[in-house]
Amino acid sequence: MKFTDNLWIAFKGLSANKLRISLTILGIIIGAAAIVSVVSVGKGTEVLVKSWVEGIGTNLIFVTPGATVEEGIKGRLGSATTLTLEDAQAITSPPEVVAAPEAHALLQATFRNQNISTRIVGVTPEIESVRNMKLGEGRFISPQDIELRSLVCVLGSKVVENLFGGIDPGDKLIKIGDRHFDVIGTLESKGGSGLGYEDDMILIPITTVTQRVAPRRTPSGEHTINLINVRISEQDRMTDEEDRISSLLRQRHRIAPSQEDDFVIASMEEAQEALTGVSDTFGWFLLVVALVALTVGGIGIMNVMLVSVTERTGEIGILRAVGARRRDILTQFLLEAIGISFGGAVAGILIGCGISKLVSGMEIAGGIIETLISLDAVLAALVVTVAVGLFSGIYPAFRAARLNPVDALRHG
Amino acid sequence: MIELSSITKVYSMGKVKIHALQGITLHIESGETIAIMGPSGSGKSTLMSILGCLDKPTSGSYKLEGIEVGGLSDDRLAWIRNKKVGFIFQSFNLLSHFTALENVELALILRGERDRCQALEALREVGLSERIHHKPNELSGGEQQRVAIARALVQRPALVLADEPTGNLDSHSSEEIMSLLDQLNQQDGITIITVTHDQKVSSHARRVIQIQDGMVVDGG
Repeated sequence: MKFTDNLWIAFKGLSANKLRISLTILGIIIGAAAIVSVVSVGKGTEVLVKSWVEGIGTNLIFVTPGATVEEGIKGRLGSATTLTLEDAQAITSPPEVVAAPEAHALLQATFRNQNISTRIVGVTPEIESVRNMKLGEGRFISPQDIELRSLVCVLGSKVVENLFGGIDPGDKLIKIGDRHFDVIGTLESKGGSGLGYEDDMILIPITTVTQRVAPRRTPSGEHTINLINVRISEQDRMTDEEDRISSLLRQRHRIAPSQEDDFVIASMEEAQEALTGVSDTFGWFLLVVALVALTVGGIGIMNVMLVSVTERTGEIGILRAVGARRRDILTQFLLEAIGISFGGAVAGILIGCGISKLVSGMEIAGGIIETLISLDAVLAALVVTVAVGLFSGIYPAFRAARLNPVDALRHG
Repeated sequence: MIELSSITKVYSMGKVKIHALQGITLHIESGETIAIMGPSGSGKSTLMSILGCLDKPTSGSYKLEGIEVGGLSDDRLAWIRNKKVGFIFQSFNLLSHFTALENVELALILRGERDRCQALEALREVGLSERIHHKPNELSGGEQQRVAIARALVQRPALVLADEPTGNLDSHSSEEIMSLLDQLNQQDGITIITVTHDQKVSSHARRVIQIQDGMVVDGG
């Protein structure tokens, strides 16, 4: 018997049971679709994280205050008010190490009848180079602005859009909290690489935040800040610099050797690893879901094939009477099982590609994700599902082949 | 052509042993037409299964065209069924999701010689040229049995075994089927063995073998 004829008979067998088979196939479809879409979205996320990191720069260190400890209960990270403007100045050692401190305040910003609630970030001129910010129009915050605690601001592109609509924001006055600020410049959009961080903020001189808008001091009278961005010019000095900053801050904060740090140092690399880790974990979780779906699908195929063997005992008997060998029957039932899973795999892969296309272009955490359908994932989905079909088909096919021709004819 | 000597067949149903055939010895010449008759449970069907190589005897020797069938492998038996034996059943036993043509072709496909022309020719010989693309449920009983005959015919077998071939047919169709079988025997020299209860059917045979309790009581 020729293989093409085997295929033909298997195809006839399948097409005689369309409804049952399409129900069986669902598990396989879901599994294959999940594999393809998970992998493609995962790859897209990877690219997104990478471009975000590249947009900010990999040779960055972030210093944030530690958690407050009140009666032994640890608060939120960054809730302590231990980091000061003076710390930032101490860390800086140009040109290799440049520190850019940030002091945050959440306030209402109003222009005419438009208002938004957004993050007001007090910065120094260094932030422009440290965080790779690109000035669109006007000028950036100057050293004089810092000294004078000026009421000036630089707007993120999203703020301009939301607050001004089509109007040119240059030299306009906006109200932040209960003070009026002069708009001196705007930032270019960072789009996908910003993770929604930079486009929706308003930059003002850091001294204006710490001394006028939201005054905060340590018990010793220093001005507290929320974050210090530190750019290291040489990538391979990152670890050394982390150590230097750590011991410097411990010394400045008078922390005894037995005590824990009251600040947290993280590098961009660590941030990238953490983000990739989250998306990886999610990916693995979905892959497990895919495998569960495939297992269920496989059980479904096995069940249908077993029912089919019982139901088609007569058919098997006829085939055997006309001259089919055991192996012809085995091949036919195996091919039917593989056919079901292969059909499911193809449908699932198409659906997976569709999901991937749908997700592609979606905004995730401020970035536009571009999913990548990889050949690897498609092949993997195909191989895994067909293997599931083969595996599920083996037992029923053996049962079919083992039937005695006389008994098969009699019970059919 | 067929040499049966001391064929026995014992079925085990749990602890009970059923002696379906208790020593059958038969000699059948090529080109004979034979009717096997006997009451229900006499062992007719078991004998047919063994003659058709669907089942193996418990003991005894069965030579078909000089080949000792008893010692053959399952694959070899399948080959004999495909090349030498054509079956016609009371309930037609056609594949329901195959058309008449595909059902006939099946016998050729299984031997790896798919040949539409031969299948069409066989259907023409049984007078079904008009209905080759109909599925069994679109055909009358007589037509279905003619498809089954075409399927047996297309194999060019040496032996056709017909198990109550007219059992599900009206008298008119029965007559048609029997004359088709006669024609097969006369034109192609095919040996035809028919199991039947029906005197009209057995009257077509040149020899009638009576079986009772798994033994030949007359005609052997």
